[in-house]
Amino acid sequence: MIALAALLCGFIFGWGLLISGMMNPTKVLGFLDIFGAWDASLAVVMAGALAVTSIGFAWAKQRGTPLLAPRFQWPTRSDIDRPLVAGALTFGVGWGLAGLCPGPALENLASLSPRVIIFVIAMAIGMMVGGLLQKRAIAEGPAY
Amino acid sequence: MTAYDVSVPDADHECVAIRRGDGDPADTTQSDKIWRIAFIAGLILAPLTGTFVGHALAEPQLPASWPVVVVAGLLVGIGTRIGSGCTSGHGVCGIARLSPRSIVATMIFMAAAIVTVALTHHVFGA
Repeated sequence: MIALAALLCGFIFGWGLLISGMMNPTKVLGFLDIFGAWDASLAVVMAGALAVTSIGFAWAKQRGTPLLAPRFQWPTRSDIDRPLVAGALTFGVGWGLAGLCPGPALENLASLSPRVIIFVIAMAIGMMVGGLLQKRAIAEGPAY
Repeated sequence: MTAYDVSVPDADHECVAIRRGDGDPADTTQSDKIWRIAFIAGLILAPLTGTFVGHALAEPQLPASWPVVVVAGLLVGIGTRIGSGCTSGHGVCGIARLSPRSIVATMIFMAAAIVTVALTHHVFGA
């Protein structure tokens, strides 16, 4: 059941990215190009997504327990640490270079575009490297 | 490439409100893997069904050259993992919960991406 729900979630998420133009790297780069021919339309997409998600999360929190799992697992951390800042910076540069972030990148695999496939492979390697860096940081203890 | 490595959004903030442990792949259970794969399958299925209702599946125009594509992919992957989230994880799910981590992360990655585009398009690029 959870798998079916996840499939549906992925499907709806994918349609959202498709209709909104988030799947299109050129459109995303246009949104980020505030010093050029700025295309602000994706800001509306983000605002719409936030509105729906805020209502959905508020509703979920009120329910207390999820339908398909024993309990909710809300993220609990609230500290701003160095990995968060460094990671966000790194991610932002990569996103600005290609106009692709993980969701749309995976969805674009459907087109079998060689560049997208290479991007996703590089992204997967990057995630493994990131995981190793995290592990090493944990092993060495807090360096900050 | 395991399901773990490509899960979206790989984050403090997973939209389906099911979360793995603290960044250790060993914490990902078998059922976690199954729903992650299912989520990605649904994600990839969406544009394929779009073909039937007038959203023809177009090959995305990636303006970047091959080496840039590789470097960008690596940076996105590393950044998503270390920074515990991406556009959907921090930008939508996290901000919707008013998570301070996500608000800070979103401001940082938006700024970094805007500066990157400004530099590549207007300073060094065409």
